[in-house]
Amino acid sequence: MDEEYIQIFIDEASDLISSLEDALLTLEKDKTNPEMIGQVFRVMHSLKGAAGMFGFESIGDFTHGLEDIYDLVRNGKISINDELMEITLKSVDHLRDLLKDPEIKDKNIGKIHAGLIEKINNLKDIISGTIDSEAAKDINKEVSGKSDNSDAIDKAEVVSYYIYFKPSRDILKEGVNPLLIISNLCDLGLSKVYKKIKWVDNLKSFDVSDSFIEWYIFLVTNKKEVEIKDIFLYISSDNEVEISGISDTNIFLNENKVRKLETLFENKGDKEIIAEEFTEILKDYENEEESEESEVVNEKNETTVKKEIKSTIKVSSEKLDELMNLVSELVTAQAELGVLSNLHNIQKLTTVAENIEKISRSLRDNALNICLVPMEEMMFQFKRLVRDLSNELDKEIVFETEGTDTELDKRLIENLKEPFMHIFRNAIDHGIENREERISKGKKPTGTIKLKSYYSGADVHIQIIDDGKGMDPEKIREKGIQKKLIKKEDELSKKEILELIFQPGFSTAEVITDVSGRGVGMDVVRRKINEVNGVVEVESEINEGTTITIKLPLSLSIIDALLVKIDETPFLIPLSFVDKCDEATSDQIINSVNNRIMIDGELIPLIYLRREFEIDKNCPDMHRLIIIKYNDIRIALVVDSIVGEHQAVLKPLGDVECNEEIITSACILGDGSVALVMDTNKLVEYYRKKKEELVNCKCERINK
Amino acid sequence: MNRNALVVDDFKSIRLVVSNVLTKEGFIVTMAEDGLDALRFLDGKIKYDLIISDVDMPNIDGISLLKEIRKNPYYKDVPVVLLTTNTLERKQEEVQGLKIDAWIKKPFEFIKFKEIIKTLTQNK
Repeated sequence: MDEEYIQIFIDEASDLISSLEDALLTLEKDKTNPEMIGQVFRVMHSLKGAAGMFGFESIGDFTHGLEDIYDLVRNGKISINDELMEITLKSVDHLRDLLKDPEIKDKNIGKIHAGLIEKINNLKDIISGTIDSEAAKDINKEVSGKSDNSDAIDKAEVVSYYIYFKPSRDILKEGVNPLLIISNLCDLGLSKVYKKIKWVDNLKSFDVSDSFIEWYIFLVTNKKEVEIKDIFLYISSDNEVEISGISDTNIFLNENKVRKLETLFENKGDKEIIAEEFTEILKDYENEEESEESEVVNEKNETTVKKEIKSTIKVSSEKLDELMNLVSELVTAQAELGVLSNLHNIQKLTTVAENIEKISRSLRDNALNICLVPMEEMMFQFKRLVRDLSNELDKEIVFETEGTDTELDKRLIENLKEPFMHIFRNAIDHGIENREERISKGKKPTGTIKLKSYYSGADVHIQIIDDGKGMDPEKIREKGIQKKLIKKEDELSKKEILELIFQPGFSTAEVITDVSGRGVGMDVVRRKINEVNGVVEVESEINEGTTITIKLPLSLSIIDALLVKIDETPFLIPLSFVDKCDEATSDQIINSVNNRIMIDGELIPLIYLRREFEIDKNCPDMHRLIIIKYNDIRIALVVDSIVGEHQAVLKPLGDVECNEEIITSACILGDGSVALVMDTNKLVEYYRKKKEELVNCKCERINK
Repeated sequence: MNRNALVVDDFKSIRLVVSNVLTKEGFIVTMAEDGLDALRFLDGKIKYDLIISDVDMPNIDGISLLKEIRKNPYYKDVPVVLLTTNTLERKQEEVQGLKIDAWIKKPFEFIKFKEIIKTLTQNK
């Protein structure tokens, strides 16, 4: 067999194993989820078949037993318990090892292999024993009963409503979106919505903004009628709305009726006729209700939403790097063309240049996008880690995620795994207290760890938030003194004390456990994140928890920037930070009180870049203000003039001695000159530190 | 003379290996990743001399695909080889009355696979 195919198999199999793990973790929370059980079985099954073909017999043997067990689960013969879950998850890890070492040369793997196979076989024996002894049917019933309960809407409490909604002809002109109303209705519970479109009788007088639609909605919900009425509260009385309760049970459970209703709405046109037949069907329904109640089981499958499968291809990262390189060259060349077309001012050339700019911009965005992967890709590893560690340390922890669709550069994600794992370990081991401790403190018995990610300007922020015991600044301080990181007499702010945890050789754990406090420390976390131009910060409140925030640049190489000039020197300011542009006279700036200027009725701080960069020549009368966002604060940067937008291909500065705090990289402009790119966040921070000096500087200037 | 084959399996690596063998036997191979995908290629434009399909696949499985093939006047006589991890017994009821030319249990050896292919396609 060719090596090449084996490699493809290995890649494919590891993807499958990952999806298996993900399915198992979902299954752990919802043990009867038929879709997930099906998936687990399917993965085992196809792995078994394919592994044998490529010489991975060990995997084939191994998955065989598990496949049998999950086949029984799938057919409702047995239900999943914690033991089975534990064994399956261990098996997933083992499968990964087997992929690397199919002949089981490593003795440890061999031991695990034998151990797991024995456990699986034991389990199988026990299961087949129980099935023989008990009547299989009874167990079957129990399983299906459970799945019914897990349904979001409890059968006993729901009421079925019939809602007729005919928007007035002018509803769209009134600015109401009827679809929003419908979707709000659907959010209340299970629903079936039918629409009828009235035939337009006179096409000549037809106005596209008129509404000709009417809706018939069946809603099964545990909400009260008032809440349904509330949805229609804000539309005028011209709209026809009828709401009537039709049954105290879930009418969708009766498939026959539903089908009848469906055909009724498909065929009949008139509201009155529909209403008539509708009441009749309902009457029938009530009569049959009792007799048919027992047949109501397999409903759930229909409502489970099928997970959308995206089709993807795999590309080697070298090809992507090559693409990015070419795109950045194209962007530079395009800038040159732009300059040329401005110089010659030929209509046709300008059109072409503008077109090419547009295309290269979307090409750039697309190319950048290709390199991005959603955070979700790394989530299952964390889910697993949290699960394993909380079991090991006997703590009850819920793992929540928010904004996992935030996308990050693939390379970043790979670099981040290790530091993230470490932060999670710390949070679980040192942060979250055990159950008794939490109860005695009056907190929820189960701890929560939340991973939240969101975009902020050109950055992605990722926060890991736990609601554990938080960090005690006093303890950290003492430790710092003990480790000789700080002196006893040093006066440190709380933030500075917390920063100490990132110092090399710092560990506050009173007892070093197996889980954390070994190997890498927070200093490595910081170093790793700094390596990818990221920043890591920590906030903590005693007994409330700790939040670790990691700020990462979204893209590593090309950004949109605003090209500005101070005297003749071009500078670039990342566009994502720019809030708006304004202007002010030199007098206003030089005589500003406390370096603040009034903009939009708000007094905002300004940074006079001429002074910052020590450029004194040719001071113009009018200055441009670039107002940037720094966290939530607005700050004005004062420059001479604004040239325009520019797609900046960032080049590192190398060893050039420069004001590296503020200038992070350079970019070649269309005319071949070099512009420096300002990092506004660092600029503001730098300015804050220097604030007092600057105030002094200004005093001198005024004195002059 | 060139002969056409359709290979259906949700496992890419298997798809490739099987196609590789068939290409060496002189087939022009079309690959599909599941039954639904395969139906796209069964539109009457290409005449297949051989169809090889996995049984357990997402969307449309091998048995349903086979049923579709046998229903289709263009393809009802094409030799179909089913690949499976289990023995036929489990699916016996489902495949009753359907013509299956060969049933190969995974994992299989390629020498045997080639023999089966040869006998199937030479008979015609």
